[in-house]
Amino acid sequence: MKMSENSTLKGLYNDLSLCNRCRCGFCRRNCVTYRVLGAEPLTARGRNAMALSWLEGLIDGSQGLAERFFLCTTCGFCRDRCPTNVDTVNIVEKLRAELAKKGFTKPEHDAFIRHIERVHNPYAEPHKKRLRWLPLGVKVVEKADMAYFIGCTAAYRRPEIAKATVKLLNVADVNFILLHPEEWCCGSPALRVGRENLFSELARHNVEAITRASIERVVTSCAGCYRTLKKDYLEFFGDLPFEIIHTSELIAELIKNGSLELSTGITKTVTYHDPCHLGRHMKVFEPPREVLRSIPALRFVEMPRNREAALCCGAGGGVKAAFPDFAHQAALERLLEAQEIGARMVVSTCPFCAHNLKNAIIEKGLHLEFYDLTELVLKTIG
Amino acid sequence: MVNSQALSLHEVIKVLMPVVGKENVLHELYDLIPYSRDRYPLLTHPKLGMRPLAVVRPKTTQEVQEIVKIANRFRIALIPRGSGTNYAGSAIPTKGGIILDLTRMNRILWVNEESMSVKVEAGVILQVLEEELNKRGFTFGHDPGSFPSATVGGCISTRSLGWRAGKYGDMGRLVLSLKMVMPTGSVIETRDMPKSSTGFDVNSLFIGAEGTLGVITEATLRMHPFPERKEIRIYAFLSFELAFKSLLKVLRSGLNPMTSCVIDQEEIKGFVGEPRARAGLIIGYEGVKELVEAQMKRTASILEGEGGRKLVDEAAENYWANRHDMFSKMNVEGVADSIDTAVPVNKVLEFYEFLKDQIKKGKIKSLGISSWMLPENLSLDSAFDEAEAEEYRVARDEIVRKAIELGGTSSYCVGVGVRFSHLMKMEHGPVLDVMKTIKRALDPNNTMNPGKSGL
Repeated sequence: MKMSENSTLKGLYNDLSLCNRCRCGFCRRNCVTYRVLGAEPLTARGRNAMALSWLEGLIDGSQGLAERFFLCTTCGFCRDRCPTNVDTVNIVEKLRAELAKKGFTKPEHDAFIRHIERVHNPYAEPHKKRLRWLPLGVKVVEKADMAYFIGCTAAYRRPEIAKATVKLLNVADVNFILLHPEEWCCGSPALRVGRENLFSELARHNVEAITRASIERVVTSCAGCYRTLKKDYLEFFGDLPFEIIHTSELIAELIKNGSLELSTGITKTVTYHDPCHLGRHMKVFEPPREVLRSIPALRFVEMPRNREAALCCGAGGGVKAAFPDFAHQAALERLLEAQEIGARMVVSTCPFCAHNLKNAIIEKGLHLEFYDLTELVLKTIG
Repeated sequence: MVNSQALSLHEVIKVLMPVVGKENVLHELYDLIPYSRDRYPLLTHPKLGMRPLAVVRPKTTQEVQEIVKIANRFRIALIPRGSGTNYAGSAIPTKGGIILDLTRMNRILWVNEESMSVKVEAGVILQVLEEELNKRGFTFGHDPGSFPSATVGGCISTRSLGWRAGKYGDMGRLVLSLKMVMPTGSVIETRDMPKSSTGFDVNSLFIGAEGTLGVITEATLRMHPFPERKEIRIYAFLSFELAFKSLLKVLRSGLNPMTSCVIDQEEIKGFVGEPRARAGLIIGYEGVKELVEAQMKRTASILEGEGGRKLVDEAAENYWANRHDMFSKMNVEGVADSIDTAVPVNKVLEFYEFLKDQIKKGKIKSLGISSWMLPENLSLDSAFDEAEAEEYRVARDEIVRKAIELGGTSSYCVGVGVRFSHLMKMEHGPVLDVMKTIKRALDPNNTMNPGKSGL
């Protein structure tokens, strides 16, 4: 494992010191926990004051302190808006790890960690049923250069996304394999809530499985898996012998090279929600927009807060599991923004965002449709 | 007399919780630490901050009223706080007490396009207000460095100044009326008439009072048509003096720039990336297209006649886009501070030489000297090592004393806070006694933000 200076909270001392000198609070503006719940301790600036106090021994671990740090979706708005580039996402994750080591965790996180350890997914679903969504007649080959990394949420909670992805790959005549039974949770939930040991075990397993299958390109429809495989695995291993690509990038590529032809029009006003892990964290902003713009008859509108400034849906960083009411409130704020600009449909590229936003639409009875990009593209083909 | 420790923490919590709900009273040490400081540069480390007894987060004027009554009854210090971006220490709980976090009061109550006014709660963030008004074809026009996070209440309480003040004035000029919870618990609201000749100008009493005379909970503010056209330019000059005198010439010709800022060599090098220039002038107009073009044409003619060299448009665009982040970025160099002094216009160049001399003697480090928005405003941006905070404080005070001796003021936009309380007598003389008399009359128990503004 490649150890960087930033792999411990102490290694981030300069960032903490800089934020505590500056304290501009520009991080507050679109911080989802601050917007929904207010209160200085729930902002990056507040958390950095607490983190420095923790490092300096001014405060002890407590369940209350842990709440302040676990109630962060790690969306990264604070990091992108920071005039001095303080990496508060990293600080939050490192402090979570220290708190977890001292036993200050959320029981909801403990539960999904146990599930991942036992059945390789956070939803406590049987591992052998990871492919139960796979439609009959879909061509999955035994040997190919590309693997589709499904991810736990698409596999068990949003199977429509996994189905649409494999069907699209078939339409475009792209051969792919599925890693099952060797595909385990990517480790994102573990890493986000400070369980670094479990993350490293999962990362090692998945990378070995991908390498064993001689895969050159891994495609995933999950923004969380994408960030974890492409960024966290890379930081962990230093180098990866395969490329990671998101379905939105692949679809844009397939449209460009003529492998996918979008012929059926969608006469709807559609907006796009940037998942934090795909957008702010990995800077994949344009491919999904290019795809939406190439759908005939579709009227694409942007929400005022888009790309780097996009508002988080409220689900990430272990928040949906531990603070479901907050995640729901945050999703509503995002959906109201979509409604305000006259959108009738929200499209995104992350099963976890889909899970949170769709639930909020249903629970609140909003007049909005939600589709993953893969589903919408499938509708436009023949 | 304030005796904030007279009540135990348990007793304070017990009386506050029924007012705002359990979740809106914070009292654990980890929650108090982020509220123990604002941006005052001499309190950079959490261990240096001053802990409040508790933080209370009201949602309505009625809740504020109840809290103020409690503070008054039990003689507990009450410190109103917006986003805590003030760097004079106005929101520091120097006497312990209760921090009144007003950021939950963040509603825009109404927008009246006919009268071009908007009513907001005190905790509305400037950027949120500006974006909301922009959607309707209007602008608020107040644009301080802390624009992305500062609240309306905080800006009124410090009478702040922004990057577009040449056209729209300071925050005080944008206030039409205020709703206030007075220190003993009554609620008053001034009328939102743009002009009245009856009685004292009560709004002015509370503008810049740093929460020492009560709590601003709502404000009716002026708004303006969204400008059709905006043009910003930077001119390079051979010296600060030449740039400064050229600006005076522009002003004396009857032109009224929306923004103007004379910057010295350090600043033009650091923030414009022009190592060859000795000084610069950022100047801009906004409004009706034809007027902006005509004003800029005349300005260009004057500045070029004085030897100014127009830099590429991209330099001005970058500078303007970066304007809110500049102060934050200075913290990379150490602990950043801005000594925002002002002196009479005929003393500006003398004061400039004094500042240069202090820098040359090594008493203070300069990140740039600038004359910002009004020619009288001559500020020094500085950064110091945390370990040398005391030396910095002494050097800073020497500069401020000099500005006061020259007939100026210790702060043109940040406020007094704890920073210059000790210099208020020197600056204001017997006028400070008038302020103290007013304070005693309105806040007999001295519960509202005690220890600030030299009161």
